[in-house]
Amino acid sequence: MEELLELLKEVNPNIDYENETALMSGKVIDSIDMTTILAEIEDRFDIEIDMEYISPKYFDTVAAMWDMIQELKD
Amino acid sequence: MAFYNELNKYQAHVAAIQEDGQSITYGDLAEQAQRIGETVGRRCLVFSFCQNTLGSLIGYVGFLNNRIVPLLLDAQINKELSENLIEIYRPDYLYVPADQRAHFGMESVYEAYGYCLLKTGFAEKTPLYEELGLLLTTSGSTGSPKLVRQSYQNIQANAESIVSYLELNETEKPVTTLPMNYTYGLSIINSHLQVGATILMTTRPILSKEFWDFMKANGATSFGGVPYTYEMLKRIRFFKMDLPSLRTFTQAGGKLSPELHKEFAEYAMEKGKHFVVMYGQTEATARMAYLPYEKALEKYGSMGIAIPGGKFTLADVNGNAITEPDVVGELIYEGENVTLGYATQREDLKNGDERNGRLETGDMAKMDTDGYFYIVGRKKRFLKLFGNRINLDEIERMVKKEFDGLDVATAGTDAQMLVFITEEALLDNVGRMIAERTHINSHAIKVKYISQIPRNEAGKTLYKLLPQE
Repeated sequence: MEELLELLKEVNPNIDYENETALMSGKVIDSIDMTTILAEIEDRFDIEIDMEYISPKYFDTVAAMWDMIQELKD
Repeated sequence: MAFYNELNKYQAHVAAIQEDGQSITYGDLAEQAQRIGETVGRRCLVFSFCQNTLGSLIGYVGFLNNRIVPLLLDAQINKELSENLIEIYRPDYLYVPADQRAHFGMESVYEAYGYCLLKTGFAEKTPLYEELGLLLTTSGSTGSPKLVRQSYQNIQANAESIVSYLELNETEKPVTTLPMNYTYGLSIINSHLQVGATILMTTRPILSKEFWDFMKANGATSFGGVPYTYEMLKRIRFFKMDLPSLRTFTQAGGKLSPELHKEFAEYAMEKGKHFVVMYGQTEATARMAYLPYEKALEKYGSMGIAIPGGKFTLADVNGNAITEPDVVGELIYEGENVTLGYATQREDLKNGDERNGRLETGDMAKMDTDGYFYIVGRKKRFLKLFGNRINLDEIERMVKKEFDGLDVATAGTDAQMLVFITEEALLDNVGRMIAERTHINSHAIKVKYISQIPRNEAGKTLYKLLPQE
């Protein structure tokens, strides 16, 4: 998960990823950062994130993102 | 007759559906408009804090229908910026989402569909010019008091023209992808209400499953996007999506890269859909040009031809008309949608038409031998970051006001704004302040240290001497 956190901080260091619980639904991550995050995750973890995953369920917390990455890697 | 006065023409037809499934018919929209008229009872100024919901739409239509003049603002606008505008223009009412009511602490005189109308208590007597229909900001994100004054005739003429060239009819179902206080987003609403279509209203970002679920479930037929929208769409593999109901997608709000233009044109052609690249400005109500979908591939990179009822000319540095092809000049537009002029203070709202149907766009363009226009640059000092127009001089004023004594100069491209400041220790603070105030993504703002801002003897900034990156 450290790798993911590092990636997210590279995209936008001003976000408190560890404590935010509504990163997507609360619009803490805007669409511009979101585009970069998607591309970085796909590249770094060698996965493809389909539209059905681009939802608060998978992007509201770092833990949820991490679980999604594990699911897609399997 | 104007679309906002003819709502009963489509009576039982659904005018809009929002993401929770709630909808409103044209008949009910007319009824709510009447309620607003009866409540306010006179021509006056309202600040409408918009979002893509039914309540916001009802207010907009109700105000136009009753000749009440709204200034459309984003419901998420920085409160300090909106309070500054309220102080300058002294509106009689504020139309706000019900959950923001407590913030303003004013008496509510009308409530419906999650919105309420608050009475401000200002006793402003400055009259409003009789043909003034609507006010929009020139650069919403900076909270500039400079507004564009649009007439009733401007709004109707542009809506009719858009209906004509996009061949819209009542079977259309556009899905909102842009804010309704943004001229492009608003033009989609106006032109579709004109034909009795059903607007699909969502506040969800285009980069979310929920947006596409809503769009598919309701059979959306069209959407609009700024250049960045199309960059995102490519990234999320839009070309592979199954979107059988989608007929048309339009682009405006800045120049799309020719490569992306070509890619989307090829996709549209292959799938039997229409891709229409357009060009416009708030000063021309919304649209001035469109590239007919049949020409999307042949003329990619072009913003097309003037809309029905409009006319373009190019002017050289001396103001003389350029008639030869491929010669760059300032793009001049003439048409009924050229707005009345600007306002920077309440007093200006009584002013009449200062443009007389002619707009110097400030964009530099050329025309090819077939009469298609291509934007090549910009004469004025503004950028379009992610579709948001950013006035560079306003950013300078904002920084100077916030950081007393700091010298600053702004420059950049539509990809990134460059802010040069003379105190290295303030680099982060300045960047953060601009991003917070304007809601522009911080990646598009680069603050750099410079020992001295280059100026001439009269103290005027020499922007050409600033570093390019």
